[in-house]
Amino acid sequence: MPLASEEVYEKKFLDKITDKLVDTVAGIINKIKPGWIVKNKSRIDEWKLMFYAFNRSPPGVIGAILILGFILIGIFGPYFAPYSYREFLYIEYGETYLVPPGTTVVSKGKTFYFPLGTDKYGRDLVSLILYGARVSLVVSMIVIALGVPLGIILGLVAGYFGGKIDEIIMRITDTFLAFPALILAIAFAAVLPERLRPIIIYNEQLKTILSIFFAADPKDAANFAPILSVILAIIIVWWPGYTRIIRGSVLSVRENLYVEAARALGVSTWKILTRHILPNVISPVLVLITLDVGAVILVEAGLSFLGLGAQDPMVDWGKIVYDGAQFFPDRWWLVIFPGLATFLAVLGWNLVGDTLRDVLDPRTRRSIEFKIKKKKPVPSSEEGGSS
Amino acid sequence: MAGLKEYLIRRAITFIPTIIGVTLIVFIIANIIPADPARAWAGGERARPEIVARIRKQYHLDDPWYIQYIFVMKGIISYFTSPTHEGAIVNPLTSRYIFDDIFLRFPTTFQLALFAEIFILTIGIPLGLISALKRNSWIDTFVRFFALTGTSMPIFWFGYIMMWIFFTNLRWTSLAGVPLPRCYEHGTCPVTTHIPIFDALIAGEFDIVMQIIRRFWLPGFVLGFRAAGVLARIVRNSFLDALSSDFIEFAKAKGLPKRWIWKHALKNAFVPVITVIGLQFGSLLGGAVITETVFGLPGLGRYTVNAINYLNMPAVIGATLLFAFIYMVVNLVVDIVYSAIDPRIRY
Repeated sequence: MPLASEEVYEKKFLDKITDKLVDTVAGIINKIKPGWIVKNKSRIDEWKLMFYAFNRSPPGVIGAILILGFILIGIFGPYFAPYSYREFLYIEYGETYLVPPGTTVVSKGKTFYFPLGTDKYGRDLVSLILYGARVSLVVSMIVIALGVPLGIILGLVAGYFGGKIDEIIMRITDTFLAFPALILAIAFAAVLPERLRPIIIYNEQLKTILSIFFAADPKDAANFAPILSVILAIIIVWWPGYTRIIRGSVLSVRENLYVEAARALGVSTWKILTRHILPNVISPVLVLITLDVGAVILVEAGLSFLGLGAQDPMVDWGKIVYDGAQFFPDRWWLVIFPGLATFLAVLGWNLVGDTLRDVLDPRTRRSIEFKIKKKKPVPSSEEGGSS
Repeated sequence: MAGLKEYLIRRAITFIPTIIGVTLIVFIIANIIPADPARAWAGGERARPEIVARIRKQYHLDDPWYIQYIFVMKGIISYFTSPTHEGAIVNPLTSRYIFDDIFLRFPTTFQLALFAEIFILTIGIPLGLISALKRNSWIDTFVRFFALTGTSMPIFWFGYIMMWIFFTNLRWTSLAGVPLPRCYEHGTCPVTTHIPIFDALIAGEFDIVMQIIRRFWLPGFVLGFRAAGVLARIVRNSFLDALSSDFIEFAKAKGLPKRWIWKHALKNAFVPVITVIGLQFGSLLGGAVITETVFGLPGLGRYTVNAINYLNMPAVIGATLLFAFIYMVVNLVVDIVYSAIDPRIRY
């Protein structure tokens, strides 16, 4: 039942989908915390509005589709791959050596079709890229899931408590930031595998979990160590940026009256940090996180291009290029296709991050909202109002 | 310029704990490897035990970590303080001084970064200004698209594509060797800067200069491409911010000529731009490692990666330290320029 003062928006097909999405999420939260929907009605409307604004940006929608594709391929790709990354067809079927895209190979009574060609072991490039997507997805998600909270927590602590704690945390942060990020990541990714390998090999549970994560054969357990090292190395270089940004915002937010009021009321420090300060410093970071997923994918690909990530027979996008580069430009497909996959995945995150920046900025969002408002005159003296 | 001197001194003092921290991190990296590097340095599995023992003693590998740390730091400092390099740290594989090796490779990386920086500035700044002036036009959209694709492309992928266009097809570049001025061989250089392109220019060997440009322009372009797009966006945004600020409105109202308004706006717009150029230099150095690999340039990045592959930890320490040092110095210079432009910074 629309009220007179309620805003009515022109909805498109996409808006209905995102409405459903928000309603479903709200429904799930409501199941956990009964009464949540009623209490947070305005918040739900705000989310829906953000999506309307997002849906009206073609680059944003293209980015979202690319991200969705990247995530779906990352999760399900390895299961749909025509061949396993361990199927070295070249050993048995010599004709499959470095076959160009779109060739059908008939060897020993068997027919193989390679839409994107094969590598020097006669492995199907489509399958390799699908397996590589999994590694890229897992690495970027773990780095963001661990590195960003680490940076945020340290930033909160440094900014809120100040004094000696602040000084110590920030000196350490500055030290890490003094290195060019990729150089430090290269160094850590190079030395960590030797430490991690025994831990993985002698731990059956970890081996099983990682082989599911990387969609890899447990026989390759020794090769999980370099990928794990890449993850650790990127986390090590990634947190300081967040610490510095969050600390800066906390310094200004903690002077607000509501923080002082909470402290006077005897609210616990933990609660002040998570309930009063964090929500106010997190929104600029959201955009950064989105952009950083792409950046992590790039760094991971770069490290494995230098021979530091996945080791034979495991693959990721950078590793395929690393192996294929020696045949460039004659066997161009080994460089072009995995690079293209990386490019599209990163582009998706960058497009969405760019659009999110506009959507999360109240000034730009308001102007988009006005554009999509129904032009029908509302029978009320007061039009508009707060969302 | 009152206060600038004090600011610089303060800034230089904060430099010291950071550089100690940097050496500590580098040292930790070198000590993560549990494998016995001495055996690898002595020649692998078949190494004679007495040689392994000698190397272990020479590099203090059996001593506690702080003695190793002091040994390494002494080895680094004494290379620069003692004219004969007495006690300087030595590459265990080649028995040459680590920093002799490093400074042999450094000019290549420097020239690569120089070409990249030239491309970044000559593409990024004009493009940013144009897109700010022609806001929401096709060129503005193009710059946005350029920045987005630039940040999304894996640098090695872009490198191979460019190589295919400009080397395989057009032959506009060369990929073999690194040209050096002839006067290096004869020892007749009038002034030695150790940077080949400068030395060739000073010695008047313009054919060598052309050869260096031919060899370096493409890697430089590939390395700078990403940063150029980002810089264009930053220039655009900060120029627009400056143009819409109160003092420009005031200047317009006062009837100042357009040229003056521009001058004021530009000066204020360049404060954030300079910071970005400094920060980008870090990713430039990182990208240089990949670019050198793609284009087969024997620079510092290649050296580091090779050193890592041979577990040559003294070399890794030296190279990583130099990278960090360059980056820190660039940021120090940026801070100084920054505070010279904007006196409010010197709090």
